[in-house]
Amino acid sequence: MQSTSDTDPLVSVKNLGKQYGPTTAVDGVSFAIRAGEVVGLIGPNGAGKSTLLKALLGLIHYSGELSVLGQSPRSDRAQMLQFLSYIADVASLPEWISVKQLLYFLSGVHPRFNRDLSLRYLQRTEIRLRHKVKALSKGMKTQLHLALIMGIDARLLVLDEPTLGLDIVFRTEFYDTLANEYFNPARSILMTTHQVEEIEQYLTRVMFIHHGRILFDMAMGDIANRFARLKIDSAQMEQARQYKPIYSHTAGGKGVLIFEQQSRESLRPLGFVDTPGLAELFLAKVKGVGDA
Amino acid sequence: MRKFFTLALREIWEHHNLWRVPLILLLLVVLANFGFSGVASWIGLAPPEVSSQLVGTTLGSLSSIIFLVFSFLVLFYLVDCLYAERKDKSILFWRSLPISDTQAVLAKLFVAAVLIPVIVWLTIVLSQLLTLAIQSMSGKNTASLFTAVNLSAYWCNILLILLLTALWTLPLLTWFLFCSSWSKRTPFIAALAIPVVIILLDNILSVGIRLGGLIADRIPFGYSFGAGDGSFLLGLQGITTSHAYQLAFSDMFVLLRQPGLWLGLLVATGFTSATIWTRRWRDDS
Repeated sequence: MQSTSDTDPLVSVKNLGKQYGPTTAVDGVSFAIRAGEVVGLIGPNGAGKSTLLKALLGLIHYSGELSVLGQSPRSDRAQMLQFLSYIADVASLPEWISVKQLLYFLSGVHPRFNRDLSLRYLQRTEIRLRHKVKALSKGMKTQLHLALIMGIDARLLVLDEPTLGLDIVFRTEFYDTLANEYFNPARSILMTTHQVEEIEQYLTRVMFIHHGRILFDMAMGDIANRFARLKIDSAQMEQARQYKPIYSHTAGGKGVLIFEQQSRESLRPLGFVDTPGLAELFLAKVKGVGDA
Repeated sequence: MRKFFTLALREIWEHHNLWRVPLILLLLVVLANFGFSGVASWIGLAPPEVSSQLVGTTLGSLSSIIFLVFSFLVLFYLVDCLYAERKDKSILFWRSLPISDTQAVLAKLFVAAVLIPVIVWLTIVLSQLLTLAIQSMSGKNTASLFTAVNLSAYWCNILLILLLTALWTLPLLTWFLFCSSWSKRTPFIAALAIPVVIILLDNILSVGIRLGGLIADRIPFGYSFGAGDGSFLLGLQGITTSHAYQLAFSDMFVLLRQPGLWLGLLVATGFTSATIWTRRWRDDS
C-alpha cells in the first residue's frame, strides 16, 4: 500500500478535463490540496463542482492527471477509499439496515474503521444501536453518517452539499463536530455547499469554480489583506467608483463596493470599511462591476 | 476473507426471505406432519420394500418442493440485489467504502450460487429429519422409518446435485445479475422476457441456431444437465435407489464432459464482467 508522505499533497490535479458530449463540464483545472487544509469549493449549479468531485472520487472517466492520496481514482479506487471518506448524499444510508448492523458491516469491510470512536459520538445523540435507519429523522441520519465518518481514520474527507435540507441546529452541530473533533493537521477536508456563509468560518482556503474553471483560489487569511468592502450611502456611489471597485451593488439607498488591492486607508473617508464575505466575493469574481 | 463474509452476511440481512422462507417451510412441514400423524403407523405395517418406497417418495417430494420454492427465491434475489441499491440510492453509500465493484458483485453471485444451495440443502435435511421424528413419535412400529432409506448417502448426493445445478445454471444466474445492474426500471421483465422471447422465436422459426434450446436446457426441472434423461429429478427423488450416492457422482462426470458446461461458464464470465463494469461506471445522478 503506497501512501503519501507528510509533505506530498493529498490531492494533485493537473489539467483535469471532462466533456459530456459537446458540453465542457470541467476545463483544464489544476490545483493541489495539502494536509491541514479545509477547502471550500464554491460555485453555482452547473459550474462543474459535482463533476470535479466525481472525478476525484473515481466515479467517472476524465482527461488529465489526477492523484488522490498517491493513488489513481480510476484504477486504484478501492485502495484509495481506505484513506478517503466521503458523503455523497446524506440520504444514501440503506433504510433497511440497523445501526448495530451498520457498525458491524463497517468493522468487517473497512480496515481503518474503529467502532468505539463511532459509538462515542453516537452516545451523544438519540440514536440507539437497535434503531433502523428508516426510523431515523433526516437530521439523525446525518448524525449517524457523521458517526461512521468519525470512526474512520481517513486522511481526506470529501463532502458534497452535506447539510442540504437540514435545519440550522443539525447544520451547526455537523460543522462544529467536524471542525473540533474530526479535523487535525494530518487531515484535509474538501467540501462544496450552497450555504457559503455557514462554512466560511471553518475554511482555511476557498476556490471559486465557474464554467468548469477555477476562477479564484486563495487562503482565507489572505482575503483580508487583498480585499476590502466599503459600505456607503448610494449618493456617494460615483465618488467611490473612482477607486475602481471590482464589484458594486446598491439596494435600499445603501451601496456596497468590493475593492481588490486598494488600501483601506484611502477608502475609510468614504464610509465603513471591512472584509467582504465569501458570497459577495464570489459575486465580485463571477459577475464583476457591470451589474451595479 | 472477513470482508467477503461480511458482504455475504449483509445480503442475508437485506433479503429477509433467504432465512424467513426456510423457517416458514419448516413450520409448514411440522404442521403437515402433525396433521397426518397417523400415516406412519400403517407404513410401518407394510412389507419392507413397500414402506421403503413410500418413505422414499415422501421425502423425495419434500426435496422437490423445497427446491422449487428456492428456484424462484434465487431469481427474485438476483434480479433485486443490484437494482434495489440503485433504487434507494444506497449504492452511493456502499460505493463510498473501500470495496471494489468486483468484490461486491462476486459476493452477490456467491450468495446465489453457493450459499443459497447450502441453505436449500439444510432446509431439506431438517425437513426430512423433522418428518421422520414427528412420525416416529406418533405411532407404533415406526422405528424402521429411519432405516427405510439410506439417508446419509442421499444427503451427500443431494448436496452435490444442488451445487452442480448452480454450476450448470450459472449463465442464467449471471444473466439475472446483469439485468439487475443494467435495467433502468424493469429488471424483472428484462430478465425473464428476453430469454422467453428467444425461446419462443427459436421454436417458431426453428432457424437451427437452437439458442432457445440452449437457454431452456439451463432451466432446472425441464432438462437435466443437457442430458435430457431426467436424471436430475431422479437425483432429487433418488432416495429409494440403493445406488443414490453413485448417481450424483456419475451425474457429475456426465456434466463435466459436456462442452456445454464450459461454454456456459464462459458466457457466465461474460455476464459477470459486464455486471461489474456496469456497476463500476454507471452514472445515474
